[in-house]
Amino acid sequence: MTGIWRAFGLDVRRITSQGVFSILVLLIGFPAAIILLGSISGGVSYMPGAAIGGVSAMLALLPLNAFTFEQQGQNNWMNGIIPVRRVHQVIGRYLVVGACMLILALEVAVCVSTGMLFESGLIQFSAMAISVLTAIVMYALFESVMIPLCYRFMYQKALLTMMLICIGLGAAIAAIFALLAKLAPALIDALISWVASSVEVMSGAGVVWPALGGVVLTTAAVAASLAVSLRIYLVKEF
Amino acid sequence: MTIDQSPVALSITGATKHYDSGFTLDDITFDLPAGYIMGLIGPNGTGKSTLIKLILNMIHRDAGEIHVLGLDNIADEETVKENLGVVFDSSYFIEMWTVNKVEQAMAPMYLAWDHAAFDGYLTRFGLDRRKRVKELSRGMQMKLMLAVALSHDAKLLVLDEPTSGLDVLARDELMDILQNYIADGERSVLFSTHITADLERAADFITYITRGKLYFTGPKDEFEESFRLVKGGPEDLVPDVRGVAVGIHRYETGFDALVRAEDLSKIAGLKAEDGRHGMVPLAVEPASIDDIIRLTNADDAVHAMEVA
Repeated sequence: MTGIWRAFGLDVRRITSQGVFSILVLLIGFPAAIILLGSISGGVSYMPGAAIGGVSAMLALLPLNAFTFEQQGQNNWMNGIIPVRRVHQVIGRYLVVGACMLILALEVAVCVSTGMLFESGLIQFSAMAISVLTAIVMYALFESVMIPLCYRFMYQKALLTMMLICIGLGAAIAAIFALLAKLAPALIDALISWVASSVEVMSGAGVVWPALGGVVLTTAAVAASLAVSLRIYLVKEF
Repeated sequence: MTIDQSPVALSITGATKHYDSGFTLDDITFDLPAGYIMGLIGPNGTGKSTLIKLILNMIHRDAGEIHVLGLDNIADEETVKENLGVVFDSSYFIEMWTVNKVEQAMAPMYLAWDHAAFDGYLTRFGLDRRKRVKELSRGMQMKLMLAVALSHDAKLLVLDEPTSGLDVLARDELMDILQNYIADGERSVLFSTHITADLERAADFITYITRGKLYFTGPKDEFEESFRLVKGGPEDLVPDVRGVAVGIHRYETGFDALVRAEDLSKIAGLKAEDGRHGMVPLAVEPASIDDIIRLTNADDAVHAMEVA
């Protein structure tokens, strides 16, 4: 356990190498500014989305910054010197992702709640929880792909690979829909109505089932990602 | 896990590493007794850094065993590294970090971190806590790594080309530090170097690796005494000399041949006491460490083999 905390601490120091101030400004100042602008201008509807988008992007990059600093000069040699096993180094990095997830959850909760307060004077907790959950699941999926890629490749190549994966997935989905539209248009209608009915059922079921689904999906993604990262990093030479 | 005082600081047995490029560090075996300094020498690309990376588990060995202070370097990695101080030939700290931040990052890594000792080394080396790593000269970066390595009660220092960026005064100071460091008889140093003057000054033992193979390991004096330099004119390079030379360098006016001391008697007619060979003079001189490295890597060098 000591090793994991040491790795976590070192990664935090790597991430904050250029100072904590800029990170705090982006994590606190940016959403605060958006909320303030939204409340002044009356544009409350866009405010939570804009704030969450900015904060999510920022938090998505934070754990990856550990890789960029590690890949500068000979900094990765430090990983061979410190009394921390490789397994613990990887777990420590995923702990950073976990910490970022918590911050994201808090930020989303605050932004969405503030938006609701400005709009109706009430906080709808189930809607807020769904927003938090959606942000967390999306974040977990992104990091679960990016982190093994960063262990495998240099940071720039990992980003490029991620872009190619996204483009490839998008193209594949578009191609499947185009093909279905041509060959079996009824199937698309059936799919759309299934999604619509599922959403209806989910909204009726309250927040528990979506939350459970989100937790299961996030856990599975992170566990698979951790396993792949370990497999890559344990045989890595530097 | 705690460390009992092991009589052997570092024990390497049959360490082997193959690279896809074709280079192989082959079957390296040696011991470094506690309380001594060992110089790891050899030309560029012969496997010194590979060996150091094997000790640190930065690369994976294909065969062999490595024990540091009696502990397996992989099974007991955390305990081993708590007791290792490491200096590389270039800085491994993030360039944006200040010296102060280096301490903040490294102190939590070690149970035995000694803030006062680190502070003392900073003062001794003239390192300003507010300076960023990238603002330090190469020599100062090395001193910063050394300050870290010396501030957590490490029992074994591993230094990879630590003197390469240093002027003569700083090298001298480093050698003094290393000598003081081992004075208690419990700490040891393994350092690789190209600068043989450092070995003359500080090393008790030498391990010489060339072409990925162990050529010699043992006391420094024994290393130099194991070889003789035979010099002669172009026509003096007779089969007797060729037969026993482990390395020959030929030039227009003659040759230098490196011969094992015990093989000198195999050169017919050579009088060991005055170095005269029959009708023509063959000079026999003590071989310096540089001579040994130079000639065992000459084109005519006999392929490396372990001699001790």
